[in-house]
Amino acid sequence: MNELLFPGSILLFGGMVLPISPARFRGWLAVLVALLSVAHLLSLPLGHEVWVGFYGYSLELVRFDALSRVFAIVFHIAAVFSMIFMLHVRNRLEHASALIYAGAAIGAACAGDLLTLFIFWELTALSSVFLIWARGTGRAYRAGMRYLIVQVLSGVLLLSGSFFYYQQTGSLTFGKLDLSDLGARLIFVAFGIKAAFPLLHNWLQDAYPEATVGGTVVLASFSTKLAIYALARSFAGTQLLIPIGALMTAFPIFFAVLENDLRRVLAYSLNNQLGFMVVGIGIGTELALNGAVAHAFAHIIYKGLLLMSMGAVLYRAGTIKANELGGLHRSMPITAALCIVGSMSIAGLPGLSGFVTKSMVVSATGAAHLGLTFAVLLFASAGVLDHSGIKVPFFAFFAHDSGRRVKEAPWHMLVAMAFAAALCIGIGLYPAPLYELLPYRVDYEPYSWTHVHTMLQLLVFAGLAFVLLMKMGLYPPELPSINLDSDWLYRRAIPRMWASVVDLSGNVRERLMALVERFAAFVIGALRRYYTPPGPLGTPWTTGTTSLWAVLFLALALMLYDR
Amino acid sequence: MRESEQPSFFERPATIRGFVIALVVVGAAFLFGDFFYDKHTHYEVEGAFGFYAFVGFGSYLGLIFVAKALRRVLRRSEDYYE
Repeated sequence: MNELLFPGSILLFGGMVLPISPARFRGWLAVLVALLSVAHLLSLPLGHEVWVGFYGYSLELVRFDALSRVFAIVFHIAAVFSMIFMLHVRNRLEHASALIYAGAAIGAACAGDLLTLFIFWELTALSSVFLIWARGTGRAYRAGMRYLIVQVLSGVLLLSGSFFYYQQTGSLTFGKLDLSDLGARLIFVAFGIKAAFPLLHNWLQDAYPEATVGGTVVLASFSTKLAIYALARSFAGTQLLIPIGALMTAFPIFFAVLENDLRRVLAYSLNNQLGFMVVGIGIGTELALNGAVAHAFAHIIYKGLLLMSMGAVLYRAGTIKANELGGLHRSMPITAALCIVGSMSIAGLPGLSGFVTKSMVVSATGAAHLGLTFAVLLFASAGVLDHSGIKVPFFAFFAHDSGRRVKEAPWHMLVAMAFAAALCIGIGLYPAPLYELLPYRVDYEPYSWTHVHTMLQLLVFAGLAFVLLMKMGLYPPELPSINLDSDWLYRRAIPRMWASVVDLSGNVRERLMALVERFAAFVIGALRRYYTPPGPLGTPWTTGTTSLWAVLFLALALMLYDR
Repeated sequence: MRESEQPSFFERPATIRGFVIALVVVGAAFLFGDFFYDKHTHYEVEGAFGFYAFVGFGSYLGLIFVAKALRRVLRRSEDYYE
């Protein structure tokens, strides 16, 4: 029985049972479930494995090695702070969906074979969409539909890839895959969709900002990092990931500068940070992989913190649009301060978690002598300061005063944020415990003069560039608007093309039908002219004419017969 | 606008000016710091004076200007898709 209590099962089953509890206690029960799951996790030994038989197949339900463990731990941290953050929620399904989603993600991270992975993978998609739909707006409904289609597509690709892989190798083990096999390629794309690879990425910015106040926090913590885990497990050292990751760090930051919805800015920022992790996985050296995993760990926490602070703003101010916000530091000073901890962490300020993890990936890139990638990562590091380091806290809490005076965030949100902030600071100042969890031995010293000094120089001068642009009035203003991204292809271009194809075929059909009708009318008209009076075959012939024709035909018949 | 209230500490021009000056001073200090040690770098160019300052400043400016140009192409009204 204990065997089947796989990591995440308490969250999963707890979440399924939760909706029957009274609304008043539901939030607290959710927190309790999360804490119970943490206790269970801590009791599991490293290297724990559970095999189950399934219709003649031997499936590895649990494989609890170092790589799985570090993700299971950070997913649990996210589950705890998310549930505390969501204590105010009265919606029946939100807590349950979040717990099931978290449980499924953890189950997936500890799965040893592809079929188990697939089941949990799809479960994360099916449960998380409710966090979007819980918002209740028509917009959220449509965004959730698009999200669901994309995520299920990812699952279908995973399943078919697994089939091909099984056919070729006879094994379903979720381990290292080689891109020369078809099955592996399908699985690569499946992982890539969930990891928001370029052109497969827009579901992230489309769906996440439409979720509820707490929902976005939960959404951001699991799916994408699960994909990162999966890439690290199967495609570590795959060179193709390096340019993909580099592209991922670069292009989202341009969009993030222009976005008005601050949670959408953070979704682009998420995409950018995923790029760092993907590059690290692509390089594949011990330092690079350690860096990618450590960065995923730190990212979940500081991204959660940033989304919680924006969630609190949305909750109190009723809007998250930058042009409608500003001056909130007066009413929400603690939220502002905690948000700044998160934003400085993502920017990589020494002393905070982002610095000790991101610098590992950047160093690994330098060590591998990937000059162009290194340059792109530096560019991206300066870019992060703009949209997440400066834009989000500045335009929400400072900048032009919007005139809004609201209450400070509720106490439970502050507790959740403070918890995450404490972790950012703690890991930043004392990374050793995190380093010990990493899959490979860490030989890396983040606080060398070089690392600290170069990072500070980069950040301070990027900040000065911001000040200069503001002073000169050149910084792009916050405008109520959206910006087109690759979702334009499937939300506008393809539907329009399809509509014109339908139109065209309708047109063609109409024209053809008109032609057929005209022809029919012509034939009928001709027949009528001949067979109705006064047509030649319609009027009765005189006896004389009839006899003449009869004689002529008889003569003709005689002549032919005689032959 | 609620400017009948006193501007908060962070909104006062003196504070903002102070912050900017502090940033400039710190920046200059870090720039100066380039002289004082040997960077252990992966690439030679990293060792150049003020390399990271230049990268930070230039990347930021470049990013903003390209983004502004992109905005002209990509911007749509909020209910474009609805």
